[in-house]
Amino acid sequence: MSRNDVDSATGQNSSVNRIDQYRRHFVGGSIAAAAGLALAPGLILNSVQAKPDDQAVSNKNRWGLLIDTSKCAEGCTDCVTACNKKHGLNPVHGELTDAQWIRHVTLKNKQTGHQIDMPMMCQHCEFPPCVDVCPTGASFKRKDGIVLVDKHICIGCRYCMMACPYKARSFVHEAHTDQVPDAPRGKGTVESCTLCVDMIDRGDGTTACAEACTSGAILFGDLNDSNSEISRRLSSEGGRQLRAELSLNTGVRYQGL
Amino acid sequence: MNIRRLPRLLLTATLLLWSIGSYAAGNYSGPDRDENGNIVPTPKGEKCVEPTDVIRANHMKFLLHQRDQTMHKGIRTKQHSLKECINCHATPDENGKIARVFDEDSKHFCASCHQAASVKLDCFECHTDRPEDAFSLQKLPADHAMSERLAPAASRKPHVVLNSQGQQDEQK
Ligand code: HEC
Ligand code: HEC
Ligand code: HEC
Repeated sequence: MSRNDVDSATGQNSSVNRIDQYRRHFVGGSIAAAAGLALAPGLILNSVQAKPDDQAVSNKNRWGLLIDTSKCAEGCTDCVTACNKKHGLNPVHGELTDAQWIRHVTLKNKQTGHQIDMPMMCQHCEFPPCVDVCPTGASFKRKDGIVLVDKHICIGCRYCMMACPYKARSFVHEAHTDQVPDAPRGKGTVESCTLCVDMIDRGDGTTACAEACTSGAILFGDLNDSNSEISRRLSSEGGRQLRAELSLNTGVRYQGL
Repeated sequence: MNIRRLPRLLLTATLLLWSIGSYAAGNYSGPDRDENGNIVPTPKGEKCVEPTDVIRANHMKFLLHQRDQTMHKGIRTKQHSLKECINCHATPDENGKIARVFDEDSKHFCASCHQAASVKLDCFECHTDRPEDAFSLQKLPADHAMSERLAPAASRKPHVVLNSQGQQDEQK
């Protein structure tokens, strides 16, 4: 594939090329993986391997999602429900102020009446604006590409919420006493989709939303691994970044828009 | 030395020694222990993750270190994980109830000394003070918020109504 391919949908350099750019830094890693394949013929390298608990995450991986909105059933909120349940996001005062890690967005073309339902969450940008504006360093990007809030440092100023072009972050307005063990959350801090970071660290190889999606619209995987299903589908079918013109190189890609 | 000053000096010295002594002895009560010296409610394991005197004096250091390791590097070893402390230490009492840290005069293991020693933590404003077991369906504590979480999706819809002034009102 030529490096100058232009994404027909966005008029931008193809998103896949951006990933390639990123991947070029890890040629060493790919060679090691290839050698592993050669040493053990017949053994299929799992795209998502469990990392030992005491090992730090590295930029060998870049986690992402591929969301095929054409598979999203009208009005379906299974992924939102699963996310809320996994993270104990209980309804408090209604959707104006409640935390939403995944928003169910409906796009309607007024001319044709064609309607698309899709989930919107933190897009896990390579160049996240929320991290740029954070005055305390609480907003940060993990080496493996996951954008997080370190709530231990967050002072609740909400600059990141203003900076995010995807409206992906929420503020916790109320004190809570019913948190779940895997998702600590409390009043006065900002939060957003963590890409189910605890599941990734455990090596589950999926996220709560992808797992809950019965129509297979959400695929989780490693964008840095050219053998992963997500990379193969992106290179054969393509996938689009939301607001690609901002050049944020998002880790969440969409099809069917 | 002026002899008239001696009583005052002695009094000062005694007070000083007494306060140092009681501080060193740890005048906070610590977790409840039965007549055999075992902590009640009984932790789920035999031993702590560090020798007792080490964990007593240094648990905050371990926890704060672990916090940064997990948050930023994804290191999820169990030894100094807060979740694991709670899993082992927050167990039901003889009535089957798990004490909460924010209870007054709390019997929750982590609150037992903190309240007595006036140590204020913000950890449990975010971190749950209940063990993972308590969240499995069978052993669910009968508390409103927990049943809410497990209610079917339809009943979880946010309820927003506007009152006559057009302001948002909470519907119970
Ligand atoms: C596998 C179970 C287990 C885990 C996990 C565990 N503990 Fe313990 N802990 C114990 C037991 C049992 C004792 C009692 C030791 C004794 O009687 O001397 C204890 C004692 C303690 C004490 C001393 C109590 C006193 O009387 O002074 C502190 C403080 C403590 N633990 C804190 C922690 C913290 C903090 C963590 C998490 C980093 C933790 N524990 C993890 C089982 C556990
Ligand atoms: C404003 C919310 C908030 C407060 C307050 C808070 N934490 Fe956390 N903490 C989090 C979040 C979010 C995580 C990430 C959870 C994950 O990725 O699994 C976390 C993770 C951790 C972890 C690693 C996970 C584990 O259970 O071992 C430790 C240790 C930890 N915090 C310790 C503390 C301590 C000690 C305090 C109090 C001094 C504290 N935290 C206060 C939100 C908070
Ligand atoms: C034996 C009594 C005792 C027990 C039991 C105990 N603590 Fe502590 N803890 C203390 C004392 C005393 C301090 C204050 C030390 C200081 O300020 O130097 C403290 C401080 C802390 C701090 C640091 C607070 C800060 O803001 O710096 C954390 C975090 C903490 N404890 C967590 C826990 C957790 C979690 C548990 C339950 C697993 C627990 N502690 C059980 C006595 C105890």
